[in-house]
Amino acid sequence: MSTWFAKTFPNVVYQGWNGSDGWFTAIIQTLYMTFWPAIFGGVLGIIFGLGLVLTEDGGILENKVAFNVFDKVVSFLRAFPFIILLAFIAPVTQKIVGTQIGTTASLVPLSIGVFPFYARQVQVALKSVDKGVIEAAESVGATLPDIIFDVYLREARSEMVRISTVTLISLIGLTAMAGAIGAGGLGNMAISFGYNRFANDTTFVATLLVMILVLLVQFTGDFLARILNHKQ
Amino acid sequence: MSDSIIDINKVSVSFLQKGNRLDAVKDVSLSINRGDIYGIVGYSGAGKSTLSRTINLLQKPTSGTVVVDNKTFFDSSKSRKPIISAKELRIERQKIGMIFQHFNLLNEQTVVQNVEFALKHSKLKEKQVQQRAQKLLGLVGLSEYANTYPAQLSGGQQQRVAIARALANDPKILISDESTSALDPQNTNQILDLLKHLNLQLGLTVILITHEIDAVKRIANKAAVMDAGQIIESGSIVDVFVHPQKQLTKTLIGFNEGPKKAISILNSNGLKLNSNEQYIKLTYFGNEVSEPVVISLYKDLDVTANIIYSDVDILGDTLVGTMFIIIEGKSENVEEAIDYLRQRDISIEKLDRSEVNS
Repeated sequence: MSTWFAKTFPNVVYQGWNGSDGWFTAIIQTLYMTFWPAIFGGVLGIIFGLGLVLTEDGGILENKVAFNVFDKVVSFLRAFPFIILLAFIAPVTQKIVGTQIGTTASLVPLSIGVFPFYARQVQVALKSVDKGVIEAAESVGATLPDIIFDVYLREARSEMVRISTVTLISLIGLTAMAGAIGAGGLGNMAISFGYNRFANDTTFVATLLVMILVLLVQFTGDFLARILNHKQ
Repeated sequence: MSDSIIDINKVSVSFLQKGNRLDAVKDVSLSINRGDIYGIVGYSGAGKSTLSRTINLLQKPTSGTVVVDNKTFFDSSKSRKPIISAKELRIERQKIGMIFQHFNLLNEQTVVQNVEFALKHSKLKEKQVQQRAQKLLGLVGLSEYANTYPAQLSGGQQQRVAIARALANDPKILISDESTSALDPQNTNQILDLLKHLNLQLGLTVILITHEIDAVKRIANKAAVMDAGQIIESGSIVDVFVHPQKQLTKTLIGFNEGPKKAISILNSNGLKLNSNEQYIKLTYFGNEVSEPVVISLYKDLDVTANIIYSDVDILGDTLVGTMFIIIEGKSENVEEAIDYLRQRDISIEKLDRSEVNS
């Protein structure tokens, strides 16, 4: 078995498991680059998504100026192709994490790249909450936090899980591009060590690992969305 | 001091829609007494819901005053914003329960959690909140469904949950906004009877917004008819349903529809009135019994009464009988007969032919 593997995937074996170019390191880097931007981008996305829904026309905090600010920021940041965003915000990255390259440096553009995408989807998910339910909550004396947490976020939770799954998967896609600023990860493995070196077996295995990760996320997301839904 | 619990005075609500001003409610004044079941009827878009939402300021009026339980919520002569603070308004809203056409329950929370949600800002302790929620579910007959999700319940049951939620904070007022319009007739009647029961048992003032006339007839004691943002007619249900003044009210409640149909069928079958014959509509209340009256017309007054149409309507607790007759006899006898009927508290309406045939 191991000799068959070594023969069929020589470059994969050559990369090794540990070490800075190893598979384990690449997997951890990809998880790291997925996890933190998911947290930062997720929080920002929820704030902006909520902001959009609460301040829109007929929203409970209706405010044209605030809505426009949220809306324009999201639209503007979404307009950036991610690979350009990586370079464009390098000075900001430098300010925040002290370096422009490497895995940690990639967290800044990844967070900023993913949050507007997420914010738009949060907006759609929260808009699916029936206005009548919000009105009913107001009629029993609910406060703003009640309406945000118990009505909007809780009523839309299944939908929120669904869009978070989509976003997380697209974020995994973005981490592959972060290799361009030396962030490492499985995407970088597939391109730099695989494709660029004509090591197709490395590309193949790296891709396979990314696919497994994506499928795991999808499966978990679908499962959670199903058990959290009581609307039938 | 009057016994009114809701005083709406010259309230207008207008919306800006793509630059056009839409007046949903125009200069409406309405006073509702404690313990009333006040029906507000009208076609869709008449402004009923908008008007009702000004009571708890879910809809801020453009002008006018809103006074609930002697507390001024809104007075446009003083401020364009609510007079009471946002916090006070939240507390006041707890005293004004509201139920809706589509129930508007929290779908991701169980039945009992839905009720507890309304008690979140009450002064009760957690244990008391649970007890209160259970008690309310008992009141609406849903104790055994406490831990199910709304989607698993029927429409009527969901509306009961909504009622339990609306009653959580011991409100004095319950606004029912088309609450039975999505229900089948059986559930509709059960919900209406429950509202009536709550009205009697808890002294709850109910505002019944609906386009279903039967709902108002069944439980209301007063009614207002709305059209194009204005109240065109209001009063006790007997006033509104037995003596409607406005054409729209007549159309809305199907006033004289049955008799007119009966007469038109008779007409098409060749019925002709002779010169000594006349259509008369009799309306009588409560215990007046119609049959001997008609017989004594013949026996004592020498006129014949040919009954064309007869119906008994129940308005709340009042029986209202309607009878269309063709009365025949010498004109002095007819006049005498009419006096005789009037003395028996039967209201008489002579109908000319064009009115009947229209």
